Amino acid sequence: MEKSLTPHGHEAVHPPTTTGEDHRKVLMWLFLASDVLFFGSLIATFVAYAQRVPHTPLHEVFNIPITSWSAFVLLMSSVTMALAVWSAHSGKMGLMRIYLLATVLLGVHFLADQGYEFYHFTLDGFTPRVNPVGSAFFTLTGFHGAHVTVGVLWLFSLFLASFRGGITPKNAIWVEIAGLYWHFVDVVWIVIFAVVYLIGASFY
Amino acid sequence: MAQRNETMEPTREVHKAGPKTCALVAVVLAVITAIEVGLFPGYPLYTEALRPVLVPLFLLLGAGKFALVASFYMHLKYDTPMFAGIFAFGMTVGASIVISVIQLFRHFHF
Repeated sequence: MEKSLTPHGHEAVHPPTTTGEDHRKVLMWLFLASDVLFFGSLIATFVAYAQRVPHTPLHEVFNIPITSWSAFVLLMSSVTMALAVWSAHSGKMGLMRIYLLATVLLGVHFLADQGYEFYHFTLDGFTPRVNPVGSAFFTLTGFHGAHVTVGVLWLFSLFLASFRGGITPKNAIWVEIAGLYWHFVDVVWIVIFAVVYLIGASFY
Repeated sequence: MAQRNETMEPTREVHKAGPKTCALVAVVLAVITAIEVGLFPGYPLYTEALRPVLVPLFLLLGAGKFALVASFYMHLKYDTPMFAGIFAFGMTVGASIVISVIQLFRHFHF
């Protein structure tokens, strides 16, 4: 039997799993695979409408320098998250806290950029009600922003739990699972940045 | 009684991407992002000759970044192939949805 600690610091005893892998990690991968379908549908809807709805000057609306900076910020948050997972598994709990907090702050920075971007889009008349392209764009990026918000809250809760002894090298799996979610949010933005912003503004 | 010693033994996961690998991947990701932005119309790397291949170029560069994050940061390179299989299944179905919806919109007037 494998022993580990729960987030509350209680000792838990787990029977060997049939896959040989931690079930919590398997569950997270299954969730991420299903979330791919969710974002796939939203991206497809945006592309389909962008091709069909005329007079949507995305190249005039999108601010590529700001979005590029946001994309860079989210990429760097993936680096700090990967380092937080490595620190947790290595038993370097102080470093893990620093990297977790850095990831949270980069996530908040990304959300602030998105809020600024949305505000200026509405000032330019590009709103969810303007046409189906606007609806699809705000639904897609809004849901991504919601995912980032959940990730920020999750990571901040792990940061706080680490001070109460809730996160130790023996239950570093909690940081790893949160890390998987965070990296997924990042790879989704990689696709949105390429397909919606770069390709969208290059051709529409 | 739960042990709360912060210098507990490291877990078997330590062999996965360490600081050096993370930093190297971060540099590559930053360079690819810079190339992506540089290829955008009106930016330094863009020329009119590239316009016909701009979509495949952006998709290729994005796919490269996606693969790097998934392989090294999500540990698919180090973990059991089962996780890669689960994710690949989701990606395959997701890509099919994207292609199907775009094709449907092209052929039918909704």
